[in-house]
Amino acid sequence: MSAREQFSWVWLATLVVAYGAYFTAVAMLGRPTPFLANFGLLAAVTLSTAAIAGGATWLIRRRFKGARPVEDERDRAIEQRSSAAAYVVLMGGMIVVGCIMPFQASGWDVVHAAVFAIVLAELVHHGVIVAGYRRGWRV
Amino acid sequence: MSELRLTNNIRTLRFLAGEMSQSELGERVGVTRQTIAAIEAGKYSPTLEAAFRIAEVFGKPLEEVFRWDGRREG
Repeated sequence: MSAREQFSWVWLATLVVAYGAYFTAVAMLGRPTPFLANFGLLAAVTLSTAAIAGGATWLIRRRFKGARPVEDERDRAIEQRSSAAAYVVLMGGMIVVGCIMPFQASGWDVVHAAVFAIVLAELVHHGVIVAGYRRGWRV
Repeated sequence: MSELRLTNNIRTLRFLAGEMSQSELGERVGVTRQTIAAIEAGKYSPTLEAAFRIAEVFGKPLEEVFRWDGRREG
């Protein structure tokens, strides 16, 4: 398994666990949503995601004996496809959050929707990378 | 939907070239060992430049290394 694929598996697992727990906790907080509780949760999940993914990245790089994993044409092609797919998802999410939701909702609802759109885009990004390596890549 | 098939003889050619490893071929072509493995398994279609470099390593014309199997119904 290439380093790039390993990074993506780690990010996929971390995002699903961390933000799955976050949105579950948010749903259990009830309405109206307490500001400090929400802010604390969001900060905690963001920092823990960064710590877990950063730590795993360090371990993977250490496994490659400190050298930056070599990126070749296949890695770049898969990255290009995954970035394009994630961009579409992110744009769609931001259109919903920025252009539609302000007329329907406000406050933490909009924040949660924005966070969800970003997390979904990242899941698509890393999911397409994993699929590219596992199932193969053809133009 | 029809499926396009590009197959290759790279594994055989590596064996005939003194049992060259995937790593060694990858180094000479400028790609990783994993990419060579993916090409051999038909999981990745290399760029034209990479295909020519692979053929050059084995000293063979491109059509002896890669084969176009045409369209298959899939």
